[in-house]
Amino acid sequence: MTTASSAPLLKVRNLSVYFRLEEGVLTAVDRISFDVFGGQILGLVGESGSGKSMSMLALARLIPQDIGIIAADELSFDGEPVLSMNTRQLKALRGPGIGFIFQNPLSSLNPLLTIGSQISESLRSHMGLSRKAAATRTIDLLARVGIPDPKQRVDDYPHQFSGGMRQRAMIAMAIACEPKLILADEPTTALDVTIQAQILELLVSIVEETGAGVIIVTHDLGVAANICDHVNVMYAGQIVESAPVDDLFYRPSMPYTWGLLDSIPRIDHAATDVLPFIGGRPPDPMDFGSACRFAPRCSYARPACIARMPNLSDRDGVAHLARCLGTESSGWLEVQS
Amino acid sequence: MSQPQDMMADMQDGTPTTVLAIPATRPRRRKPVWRRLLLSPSAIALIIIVLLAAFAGVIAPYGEAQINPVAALEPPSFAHLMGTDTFGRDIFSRVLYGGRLSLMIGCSAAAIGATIGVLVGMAAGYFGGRIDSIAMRIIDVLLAFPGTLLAIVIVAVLGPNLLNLVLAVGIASVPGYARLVRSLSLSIRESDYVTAARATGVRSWTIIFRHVFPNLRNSVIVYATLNIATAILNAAGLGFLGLGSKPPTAEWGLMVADGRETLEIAWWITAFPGLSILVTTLVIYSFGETLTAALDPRQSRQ
Repeated sequence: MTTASSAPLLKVRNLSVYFRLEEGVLTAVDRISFDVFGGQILGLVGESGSGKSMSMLALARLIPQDIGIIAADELSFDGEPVLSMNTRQLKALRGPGIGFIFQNPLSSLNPLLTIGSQISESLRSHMGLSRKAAATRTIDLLARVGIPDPKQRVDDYPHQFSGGMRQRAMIAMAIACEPKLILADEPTTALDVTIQAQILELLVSIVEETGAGVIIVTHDLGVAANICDHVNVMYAGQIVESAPVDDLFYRPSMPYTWGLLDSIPRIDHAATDVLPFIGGRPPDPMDFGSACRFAPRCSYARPACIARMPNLSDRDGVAHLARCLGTESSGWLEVQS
Repeated sequence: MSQPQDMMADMQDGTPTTVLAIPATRPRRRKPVWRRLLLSPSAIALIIIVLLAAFAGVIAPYGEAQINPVAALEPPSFAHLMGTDTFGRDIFSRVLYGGRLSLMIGCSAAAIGATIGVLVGMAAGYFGGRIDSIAMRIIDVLLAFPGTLLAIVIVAVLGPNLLNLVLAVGIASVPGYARLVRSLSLSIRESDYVTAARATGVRSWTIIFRHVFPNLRNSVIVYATLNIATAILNAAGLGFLGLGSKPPTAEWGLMVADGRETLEIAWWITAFPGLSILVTTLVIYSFGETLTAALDPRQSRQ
């Protein structure tokens, strides 16, 4: 599926997001770096609060400016530096450049406006379409995302749509202006499994059709395994492992990833078995300290892990990076296969 | 976006259990909002009140300022449905004539207050930061004066006439709207659909008018319906101080004030204009309720 062109669509180098609070500075995202190419699906996985959604919002500078600070050595979309964009450039970035699909399709749709008017909103402001042309295109979009009877449903309100249809409508909104990059923030979390499969299928077909790049945020490794080309695992604001999808699942090189993989329910295990879980809680984002952030919860941790923060270093796989002293070549851990 | 039909066919072939169609027999269209609104009891009552005031000249049995010293302070009777005041003027006629002025003052003042207050409140709440601080400090200064006092100052500065009276009462009611709307905007700003709209590159003022306003509209309508009554009373207070309508003119608030001295011997002078204010307020309030229900797509289909 990797039909990557030479220049990355999105280039992120050491992107950080901070929040200035009364109690101090909270680090939500800590120096993450990655590239996204057209036609590529990048997964961002990790537990709640690991900074996944915040890094998504930061990519389009949607962090509230009064308290949030976005810093990066480089954050460029299609060669354009995002952090130095003015209001007009940002407006052109959001919509035609980057399309967003949000987690909760019910609260992401205005309950008082019809589905159609919410989709045509961006069409009219970005593509300068007339009311009529926008309405026609909106119906096409609804048909494209698989809403039955789109001519009728276009005038419905969000509460008249089922959960899956709302998420389809959200996707229609996101792809309305034919964005080059689609950011999907847990697009299937609020949906049941059958609908989830359909939505993912839809997303993949859109990528194949339009060649757009996708970043999909999820805490469901099954979703990541299904559709992603490359996966970044995030923990406590950092990327702790980054690998092509097969590599990540066959040779995970970080105890946190092991924990995530172990805590997936398996069909061949008895239902009465206790599902393995990762004990403890993530560190305080106000004060991460200088140790490995996963060390307090890691059953393989040694004193060296407390002494310093491991770097994101190469593993034997192609483009496989991990942040763990134990699985480095001089480490004490065997990489599980 | 080329082949929508193929796409749908693919999906349904591949996963036959997943057809999302909702029965097509369901009624699709909302009934026309305005027709149902006009036929609601509160709307009919409101129309009657407006018509009574508008056609006061035709309906009223006596003139607005027609003095009849012989018939002074008469209790309600068939000749004078609501009695007469100290000058022998027919209260019923004056209530009808007064309705014109009071409704006009109340509605225009509430409209002025709501327009300014909603705009300021939405801008402050949505943009936050410095705009919020500056706008809210100005509102706080306005809020620090009692509404009536503020209105007196404004009338005193602009000069006492009816237009300035309406303006003064309207401006005096701005802080209430601004505070209410700001707090609502603050929470709406954080909602996912506003983030979603921002993420598709919609302009701030478009978001404010298309997403923020409709979601706080109902609260503003409810507040405004109550505000109309307050505005009528405030205008009356100013009239009483000689800053609004002048005595021979019939105006509900002024009439309530007029009857003060004779309250023990002639309750009707105060009671009927007061009752008019009460009934009008209730009718406007319940019309507001009907209006909010009619404007909400989630309620209107029942």
